[in-house]
Amino acid sequence: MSSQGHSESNSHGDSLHETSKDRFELLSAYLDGEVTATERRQVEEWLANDPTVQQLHARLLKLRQAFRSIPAPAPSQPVEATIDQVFANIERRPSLSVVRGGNTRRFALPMGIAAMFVGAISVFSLNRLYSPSAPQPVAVQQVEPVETGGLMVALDQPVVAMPQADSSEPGVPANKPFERDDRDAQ
Amino acid sequence: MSQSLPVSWSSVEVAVPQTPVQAEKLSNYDLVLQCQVGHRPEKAVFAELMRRYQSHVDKVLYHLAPDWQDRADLAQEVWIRVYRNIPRLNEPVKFRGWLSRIATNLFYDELRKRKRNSSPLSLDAPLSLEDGELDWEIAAETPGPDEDLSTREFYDQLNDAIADLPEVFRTTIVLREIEGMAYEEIAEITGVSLGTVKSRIARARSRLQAQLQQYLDGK
Repeated sequence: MSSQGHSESNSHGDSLHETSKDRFELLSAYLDGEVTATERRQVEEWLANDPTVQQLHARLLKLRQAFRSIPAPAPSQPVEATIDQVFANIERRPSLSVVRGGNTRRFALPMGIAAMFVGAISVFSLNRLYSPSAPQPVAVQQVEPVETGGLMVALDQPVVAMPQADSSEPGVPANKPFERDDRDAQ
Repeated sequence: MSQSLPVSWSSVEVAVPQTPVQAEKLSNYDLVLQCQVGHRPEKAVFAELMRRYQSHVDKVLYHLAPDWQDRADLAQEVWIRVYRNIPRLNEPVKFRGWLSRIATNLFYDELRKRKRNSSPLSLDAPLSLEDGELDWEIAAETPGPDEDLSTREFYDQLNDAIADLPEVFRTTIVLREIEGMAYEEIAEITGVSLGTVKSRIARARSRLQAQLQQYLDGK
């Protein structure tokens, strides 16, 4: 951890520094649109009259611009390698929902019944394989790929109750609003 | 893996020609929509999505965890989660933010694991608990160097300055400036109050603007 010098010692006293801290924090929140109407008026008044605040504001705007235009780091591996690894992984970990498949409705009724039979067997075997204390989808990794023969389609529900936090998988957000998705158009 | 295109029931009788989607010609938005067709994205379509957004995943993980050597593994896990969950993304227009959030959540999961496993003497440990390590740097007026430094050098300096921030300040400013999150969302993810988020962002900016002022004051 590098320790930075106290820049305020150049030209600011302690009490002035306190004021500067408050102003800086308010200015920073103002930049993010995270201020009340009163605070906004206050910052705008400083911006109109205080050269120090004006200078900081200009710097912070440039800093923000720099953050937004910062180049992506050099990739640690080519994206095609990542694509191959991801698909190898997905195919190695037959998540139950992959097994569900998208073609359920193409099967005739007898096939469906047969699928339910196979499904029931796999429920039994999967339940034995799952550790109750670790119902993470990742645990599927250890499951031997079950021979589905395209018949697993009747498995419409996960065998193990999935944690229901924000979404069906830990770490996957519910569809929350984000700012600046306009940056999507790149 | 089946390569057939799912066809809506209403159009089955019309014998729609099953021309494969040319993923690379789709807009970002249409590409996300195409990934939502069926229960699971088609490989070609999803691979194109990865090509377009991998650099964003790299960027988020790089700034959140500059000193981790296994970010490629983390990125892989991000995409696996995306693959499994993209059909349930309700607002495809917000894909980029959703992707950032998945990467961020994965980073925090991993960070918690590493902290549990690290020794109590680890230098990292106290940083997440205290906000006191980062001094304020306000309006320093030391003159910058005369030489006109290139943009590349500036970004190198910025990357280094971000990486040098104590962890809680770095993650907070990255969530704000690189991921574009609102304070409330940052507070929720990092488990601190709005006031703390506000203070951490301000202090991170205070340090960065002081370190980079010769670049920021130019022109």
